[in-house]
Amino acid sequence: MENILDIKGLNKAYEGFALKDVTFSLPKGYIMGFVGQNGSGKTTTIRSILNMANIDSGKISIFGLDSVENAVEIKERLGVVFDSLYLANHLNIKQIDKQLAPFYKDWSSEEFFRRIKAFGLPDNKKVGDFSKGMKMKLMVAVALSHKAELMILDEPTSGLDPVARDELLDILSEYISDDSRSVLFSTHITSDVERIADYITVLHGGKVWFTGTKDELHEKYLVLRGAEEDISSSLREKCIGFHGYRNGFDALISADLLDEIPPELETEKASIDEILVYIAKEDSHEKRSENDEV
Amino acid sequence: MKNVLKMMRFDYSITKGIGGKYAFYFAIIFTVMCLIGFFPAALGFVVTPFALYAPLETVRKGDFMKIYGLLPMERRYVTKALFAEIAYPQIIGGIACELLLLVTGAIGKAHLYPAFLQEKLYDDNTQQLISTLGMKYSDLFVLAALATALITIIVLFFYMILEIKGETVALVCCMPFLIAILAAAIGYMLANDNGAVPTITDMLPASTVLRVLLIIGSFAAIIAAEQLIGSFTVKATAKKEI
Amino acid sequence: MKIIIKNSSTLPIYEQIEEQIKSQILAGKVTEDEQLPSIRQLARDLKISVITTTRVYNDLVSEGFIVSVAGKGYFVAPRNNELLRERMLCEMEEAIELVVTNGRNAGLSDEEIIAAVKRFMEE
Repeated sequence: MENILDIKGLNKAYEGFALKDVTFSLPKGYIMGFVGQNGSGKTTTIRSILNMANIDSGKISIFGLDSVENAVEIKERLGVVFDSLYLANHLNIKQIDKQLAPFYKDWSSEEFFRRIKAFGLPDNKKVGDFSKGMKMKLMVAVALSHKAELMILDEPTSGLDPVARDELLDILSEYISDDSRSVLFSTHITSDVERIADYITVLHGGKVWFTGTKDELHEKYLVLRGAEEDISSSLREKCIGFHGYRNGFDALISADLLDEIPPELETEKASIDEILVYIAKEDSHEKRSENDEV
Repeated sequence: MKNVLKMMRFDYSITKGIGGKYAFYFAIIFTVMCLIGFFPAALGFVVTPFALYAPLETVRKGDFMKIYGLLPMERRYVTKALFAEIAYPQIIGGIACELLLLVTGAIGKAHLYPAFLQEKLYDDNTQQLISTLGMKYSDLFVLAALATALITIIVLFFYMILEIKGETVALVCCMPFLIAILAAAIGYMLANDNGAVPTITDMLPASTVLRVLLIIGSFAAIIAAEQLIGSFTVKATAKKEI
Repeated sequence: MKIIIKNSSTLPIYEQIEEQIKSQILAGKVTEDEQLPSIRQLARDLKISVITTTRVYNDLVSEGFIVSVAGKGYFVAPRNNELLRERMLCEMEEAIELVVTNGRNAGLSDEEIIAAVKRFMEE
C-alpha cells in the first residue's frame, strides 16, 4: 500500500506551544480523520504540510515528494479547504475561474462550472456575500477542478448546519471512490469522522496520541463503568480520565487490560468524542496533582 | 519573468474590481484637462497608478493570505510581483505625463487649435501659476520625472517595510518622510513668494542635455530601486510564515 | 438485495451488514450470481469507511457467501458452492436442535415431534 502522505518526526515550536515528534501516514485511497481538541496542533500540522509554517525538524512527504523542496509541484495536485474563504470577497465565480486557471496545469473551467452548478452556487454574486456553507462548497469546487489527488480539509464544517455537513461528507465519499485519491480531514466535530473515516489520528497537546485504522482505535480503548468499590486502586491508576461520582465512576481504559477487569464492571465501545473527553480529563487530573504537590 | 507576470495579473484581477478602474478614469480626466489648457494637470499622471495597486492592501490581509500558500507558485515571485506592479505602472504614468506635456506644448505652439482654445492653453491663470514659482514650461518635464521617482521610491520603501514588519510599522516609518516633503514644499512656496530662495528654474541644470539625462536618470532610478528593494525584501521574508 | 444500517443498533456496522447479507442469501431472497456493489461504491452509498466494507466482503468471501471475480467484482455465490452449503446445513442442524428441544420441553414424545415435522413438510 502506497502512502500518499508521510509525516516523520515533525517538530515545530511556537511560543507556548509545540508539535512534538508527530508521525503518521495516510495510504492512497482512504480517508483519515484528524481529530483533537482545539489547540491540539491540528492546524499547525496542516500548515506544516502545506509549507506555510516552517518546520524545526522532521520530514513530510506528499506523493513521495518533499514538502519543502517540491512544494510547488505538490500544490498542483493538492486540493485544500480551510474553515474560511481564501479568495477576494468582491470577486464572482467567473472572475475566480479566470484568476485561478493560469496557475494549474490541469485546471478545467468546464469541471469548475459543472461543480459550481451542481452545488447550486450563483454565477454572478460576490463570493464575499456567500453563506458559510456556500463558501465551503466553493473551496471544494476549486479543490476538485484541477485533478487534485489529495484533499486536505481543515475544520471545513465548523459553523455549518447538519445538512451542509452531510453534503460535504457525500462529496468526500464520492471523491474517494477513486482509489488513487485520499482525504485528510481535520475536525473537532467527531461525528463527521466517526462513520466515514478509514484511518484516525488523534492529536493531543501537540503529540500523536493514536494513529491507525478506526477499527483499531475502537478495539484498543473501552469505556469502563461501575461502582467505585469494585475497582482496585492499581486498576484505577491505569484508567484514563477517571470520573468518579457519588454512585459510580466511568473512565477510559486500554483493552489490553481486559483480563484485569473484574466482572462487576461494565465495558463499552468508546466513541471518538468520549476518547477526546477522557484524554482531556486525564490532563486536568495531572495538572491538579502537580498543583497539589506544589 | 513569466511567474512575476502571472502574479501581477493575479493581483491586478483583484484591484480591477475595487478601484483599479479609477486609474483609467483619472487618466482620461487629466488628459482632457490638459487639452483644454490646464496642462499642469499632466502631473496628475504621477499619482494615477496608485489606483492600480493601492487597493491591494485592503484585500491582502487575514484569511486571504492563505491563497499565496495554496497556489503552486514560489513565494518569492509573489513578493517580486508586488514591487513590479508598483514600479512599472508608476514609470508608465510618468512617461504618459511627459508625453502629455510634450503634446500640449506642441499643440499650443503649432496653432492647431481654434483661437480661443489657443489662448486657453497659455492663458493668464496657467501662466501665473507657473510664473509664481518662477518656472518655465520646460521645467515641468524635469519636475514630473523627479516627482515620479521620489514618490515611487518612497512607496517601494513603504511596501518593503510593510512586507517585513507589517502595516503599523510601515506607516510610522513613512509618515515622517511624507510630512517632511509636504513641509518642504509648502515652505518653499512661501519662501519663494519673498524671493528668498532660488526659483526652480535656477535650481535645475540649464543645458537641455543635462535635463534630459536627469529625466532618464529618474526613471532608471525607479527600476534600480524596484530591483534592489524587491530582492532585499525577498531575502528578508524568505522564512516568513503564512 | 437490501443493505441498510441502523444507528440505534448495538452491533458494530460491519456485523450489521454481514448479518443482513448472510440472512438474505440463506433465506433464498437473493438470486444466485447477483452482483454486489463494489467495495468503494457500497462505502459511498452507506457513507461509511472503505475499510469497513472491505472487511465485510473479505469475511463474506471466506465464509463462502459471496465470490470475487477478478476484474468484475463481487457476486452472490452459486448455491452449489460447498462452503455455503455446509453453512446452510449447519443452520439446519441448529434449527433441528431447537425443534427437538422445544418439542421435548413441551412434553411431546419423539414420534410426535417427527409427525409435526412431517405435517409441516406436507403443507
